[in-house]
Amino acid sequence: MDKEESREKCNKERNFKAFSMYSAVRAGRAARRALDLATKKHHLPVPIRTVATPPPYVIVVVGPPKVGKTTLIRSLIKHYTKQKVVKPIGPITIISGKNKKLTFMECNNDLNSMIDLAKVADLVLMIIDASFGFEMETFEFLNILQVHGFPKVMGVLTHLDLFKQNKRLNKIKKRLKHRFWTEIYQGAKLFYLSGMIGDGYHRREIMNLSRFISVMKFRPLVWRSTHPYVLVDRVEDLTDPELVKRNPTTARTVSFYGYSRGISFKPSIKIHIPGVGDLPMKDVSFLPDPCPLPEEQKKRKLLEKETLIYAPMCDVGETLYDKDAVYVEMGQNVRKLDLSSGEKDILVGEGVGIVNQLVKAAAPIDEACKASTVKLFAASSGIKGSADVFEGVRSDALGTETEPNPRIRRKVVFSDVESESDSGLRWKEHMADKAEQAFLQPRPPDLMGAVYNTNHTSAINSLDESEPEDDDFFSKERHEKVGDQEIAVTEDSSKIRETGLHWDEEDVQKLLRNKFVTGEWGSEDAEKLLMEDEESDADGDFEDLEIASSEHKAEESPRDVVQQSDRLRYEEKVLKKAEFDRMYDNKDNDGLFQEMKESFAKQARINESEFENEAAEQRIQYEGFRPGLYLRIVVENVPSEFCQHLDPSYPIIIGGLLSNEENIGFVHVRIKKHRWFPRILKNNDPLIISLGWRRFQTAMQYSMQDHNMRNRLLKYTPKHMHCRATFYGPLVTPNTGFLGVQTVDRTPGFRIAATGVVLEQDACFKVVKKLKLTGVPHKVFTNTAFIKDMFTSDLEVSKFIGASIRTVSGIRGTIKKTLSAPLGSFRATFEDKIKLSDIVFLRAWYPVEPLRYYNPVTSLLQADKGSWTGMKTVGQLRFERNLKARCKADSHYKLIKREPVQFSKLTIPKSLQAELPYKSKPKLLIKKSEKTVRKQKAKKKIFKIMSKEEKQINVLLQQLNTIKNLKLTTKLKKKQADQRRAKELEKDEAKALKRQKAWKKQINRKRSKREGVARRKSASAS
Amino acid sequence: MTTATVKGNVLCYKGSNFFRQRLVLSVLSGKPIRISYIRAFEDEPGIKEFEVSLIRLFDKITNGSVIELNETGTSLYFQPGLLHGGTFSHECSTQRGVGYYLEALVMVGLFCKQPLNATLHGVTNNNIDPSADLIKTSMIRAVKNFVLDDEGLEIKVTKRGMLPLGGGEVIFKCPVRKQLRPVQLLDSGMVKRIRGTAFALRVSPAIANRIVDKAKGVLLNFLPDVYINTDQCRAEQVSNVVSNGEDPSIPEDVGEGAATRLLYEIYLGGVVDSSSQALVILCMALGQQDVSKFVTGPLTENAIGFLRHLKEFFGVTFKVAHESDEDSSGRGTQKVVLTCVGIGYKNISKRTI
Repeated sequence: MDKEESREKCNKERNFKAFSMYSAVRAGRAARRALDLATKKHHLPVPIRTVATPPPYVIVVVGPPKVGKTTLIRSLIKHYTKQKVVKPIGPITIISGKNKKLTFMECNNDLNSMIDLAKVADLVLMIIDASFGFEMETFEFLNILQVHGFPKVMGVLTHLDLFKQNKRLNKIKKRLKHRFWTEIYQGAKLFYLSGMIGDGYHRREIMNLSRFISVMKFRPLVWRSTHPYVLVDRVEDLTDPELVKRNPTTARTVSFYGYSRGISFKPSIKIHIPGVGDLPMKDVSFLPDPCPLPEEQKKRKLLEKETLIYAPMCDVGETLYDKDAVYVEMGQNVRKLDLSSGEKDILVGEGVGIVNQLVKAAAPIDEACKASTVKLFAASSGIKGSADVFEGVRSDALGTETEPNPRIRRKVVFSDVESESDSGLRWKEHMADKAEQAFLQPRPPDLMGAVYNTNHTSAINSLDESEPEDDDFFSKERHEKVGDQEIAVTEDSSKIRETGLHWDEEDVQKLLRNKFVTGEWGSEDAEKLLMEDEESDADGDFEDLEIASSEHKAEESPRDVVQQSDRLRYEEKVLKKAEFDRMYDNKDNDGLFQEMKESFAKQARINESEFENEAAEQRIQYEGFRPGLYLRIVVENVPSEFCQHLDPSYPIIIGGLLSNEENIGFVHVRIKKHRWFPRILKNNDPLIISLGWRRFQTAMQYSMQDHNMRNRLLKYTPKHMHCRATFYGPLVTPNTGFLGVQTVDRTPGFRIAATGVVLEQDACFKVVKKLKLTGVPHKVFTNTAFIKDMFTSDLEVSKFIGASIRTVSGIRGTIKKTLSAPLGSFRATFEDKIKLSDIVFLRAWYPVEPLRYYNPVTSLLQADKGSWTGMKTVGQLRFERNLKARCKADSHYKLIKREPVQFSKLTIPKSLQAELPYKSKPKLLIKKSEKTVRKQKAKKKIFKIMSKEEKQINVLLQQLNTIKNLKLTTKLKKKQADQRRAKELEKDEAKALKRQKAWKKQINRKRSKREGVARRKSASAS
Repeated sequence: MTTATVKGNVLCYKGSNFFRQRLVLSVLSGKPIRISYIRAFEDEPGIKEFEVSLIRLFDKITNGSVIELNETGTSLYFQPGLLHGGTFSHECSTQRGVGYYLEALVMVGLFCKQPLNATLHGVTNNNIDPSADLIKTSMIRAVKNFVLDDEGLEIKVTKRGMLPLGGGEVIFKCPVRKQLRPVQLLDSGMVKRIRGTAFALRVSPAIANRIVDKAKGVLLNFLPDVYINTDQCRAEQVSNVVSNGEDPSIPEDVGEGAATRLLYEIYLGGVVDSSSQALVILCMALGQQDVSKFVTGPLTENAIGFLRHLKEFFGVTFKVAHESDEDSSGRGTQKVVLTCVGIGYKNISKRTI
């Protein structure tokens, strides 16, 4: 047996493949587990909306002050462009590779900036001072990121050179790394910058960092893939300086510049600038990319001259291209300009080169224009560039579009054909020809113009364009006077009422014969396919195998047929195999997932190719400004404070709003107080909310949803639980995250008060508060009672008739009718008799509306941008004014003293006790004293087995004893009786004595009285 | 038509044209509109009964709308609220058919907060508006292209009603969707079979059969597979007038007219028929930020007006071009290809969990 087993085991080890399916259960489990793991890896595929030249990725460098943010940006820029930027302020765009651009932006230590930049960052470099550890700002920023869609985050540890001991350094690194991982995800990248060399970090480390940046993949975030936005890198004030001089607070016209990001930027949308507010755009246009990618893609590496940098806010680079102007920073070169030496231009920059060329030019540009000629054909003479030539060309060009005798196109409506039989005949004669003509006649070349140019009043329905000569059955359309103009009136119906052509005519029928399956099939036609196939012999594609094969068999020679059928069979097999593979041979076994991905990819291909060949302007008209274009956005009526207090270190973002997002309504959210925020939040206290692009202050009304979907008002947020909240603010798509802070200024402690998500929005929400009305009965019948003191008038009662009421003890009832006697009293019925001392209450729900308070945070309009304060919370106000919360004396909690209840002893009267049956009698034994217990214990009965004699003796003794006892008892009784008699006698004697004494006393008193009187008489007599 | 002038956030229009389109787009985009000079210089100035009924309908399906009408009814200010939907019934004006209202509901129905369950009473068939049956067969099918799951999207004609008293009843049910899908509807295919319904109210059933006979006679010239149902017993309340607003006619003429119109519609061609053009255009424009394409016959005036309005309300410009078809003889008119990039419209009324 053992041998057998060991052999099997041995076989198993040697030839494991043979035993791979040894256990079906195990194999099943393994397969399931493998599938589980594979499915776990799937993410919901998102539509691919990438463009050919994407905008530069925004890399935001974040950290508390003095951790090395500026140094890192400086080092990175130096690494990429070999340029030294002393003070990197504002967005800095550089070319980092052959087809990659990056924008660096430093985030200053202001909550407003942190919130704004979290909304646009593609990659966050989170700098942590290892010698100090994590600071509050880092965690605040991470929480902001979590709410607004989590971009890629890379940690960078600096100040590592401050550690002297290597062991301690490693320990700190490990600790920080694990803390960082719990915040982001296990295995998140944390970089170590060991220390400074000169005024930058180690070159090798920076290079490594740049490599990590370059291979970074960015997943589209929901908000950004549905909204267009621009991170502004340049601002120009276009207001007339004279106006500003006259009135410094005049509203400004400002042009903003930046790359279009997110989705296509449409000129018609509204924009929001966080920190400023909602503004309408005056004009949007695109400029040539100031930081273009290199054109040739031959070399592996970027040439040095192609590593451009564009940072208009921090004085780098010398040339600025605007829509209508080019600014060149000449610097020192003006003086050195030498007209004769052209070759030295290589050394100077591009802009300076242009200026030099301009200066060198012999004639001004308008004169050069006049002198120049254009040759249209090789043989022809050159055309001079004068004004009339251009005019001529223009009129020629127009001539091709407009005919010499332009027809005025007017909309016509067919009248009823049947009623006009005479003209109907005439009409019939030409109808086929007309229809043919209408069908064949060239269409207006510009359908777009016909639709979107509103001067065309006519529809472009082809049949309506028939000549309006016959007044008999063409009636002119109605017109309507609108102010000073007249417009055509339409029926406002989508139904067309023309019956069109006469389909009983043979040649008219021809016009649509092929729309039916009985007509010709066009390219899919079997006969045609067959013809083509014969022409091109063997390699033709078979669209429709069955038809083709059947046709073939009928016509061709037997040998051909055999070959043909073989080939057909083969092809059929190939098709079947492909079908089989498609159905069963799916590698990942995730058909739906694959299908989704494919459909997205297909749509992406269509998106890319559809407008590829259109002119730039046309394309923008259809698509809007694609992400990646450099935009110039002119905005009017910008508050003057924006320009006065412009600080480039604060990010300026132009966020596009979708169609409904400019409206304001009530937003219902799910909210949770942040677990690190020290206090709970009070109902109706103002809270600054960052939702979508906006930051605004609003008053939150907290509520909790009951099981019956009722929203009950809460006074405070729960401590560790989600609750609902309603506030008045701008509408956004449901499922958008938001965060709330109480203040944006630099207060110590964790500032993020709450986070949440938008659930729904509406024009009103029903949030209710519990209201208990109490009353007391003033008369009680069996099931009816009269209740007073609940209402004050009959009207109030009548509104509540039928409402359910309840006593404290839980007896339910309903309000029936008003009573006349005490005002506001009513008759109510209950399920049982209530007591006069009961309190009756009615539980009602009172709707409460949230405050309509919405105040955008205008931090960018402040001189000190971090110090924006809106409405203060009640707590803050009380603290400032040293006030205490008002409270009713009745609402105080007092210590309740409860005495233990003393129950009186249960005593049953003796007479009752006597009558009770034994079962019910109280059988309480009197507690025996210890002595008796001991005695009883000592006294033990010994049973004896007695003989007859002994029994007789015993009986006799007993009898004797009985007699003796009886004697004794009678004696005792006699004795007792004697004693009793003696006692009674004594008593009687004592009584008699007492009586005698009293008598004596009385007699004596009388006697002495008489004697006294006699004495006094005698005395007086004497 | 006039173009809109924008005053602040309000789009201002003049004239009574495209009243319904403007309201629909206003509700969808959330932009308030002001329409002035509504038939201001006519004998009966101001908005008509059927337009009032439409405004009432919009008031029913929205929450928080502000409607201001001046005394003569020549000027209207409409500030839309959020689409709410839900179950309700509406008494439509008999001046227009139920189709007039139904079309507006089909356009906004998918973007409500609660699934729409509307019961419309009125005239189901007249000669101005698309009938409830047309909307059921054509428009609902067109909308189904744009949603992945079309469960619960249906129209039921429970009673037929004719002029002058109406009395018809149509139930429209529509689910709620978050967003629409991009479509590429390029192949209109061929006509394989023809199905239809002929109905006659309060007249002999033989009349419906006479209609069928004649219509079939016309259609059989093109296709052998034609089957037309007769729908007899749904008349609940009709007046004694047999005609549907037109001049009296014999059943054969009605049948022939119907068949001719069908052939004309086939002649115009396209993936959807001409009455659904505006609806498809709307759904394409509101789709995700992807390219949608769709082939149709010549654009109707209604569709052109809709395209112009879409540009004003949503800033969407369609690429309108003729289809470059190499072999189109015998296939009706030359087709028009409409291409656009959706604006990524999201249903903001919809509740999340």
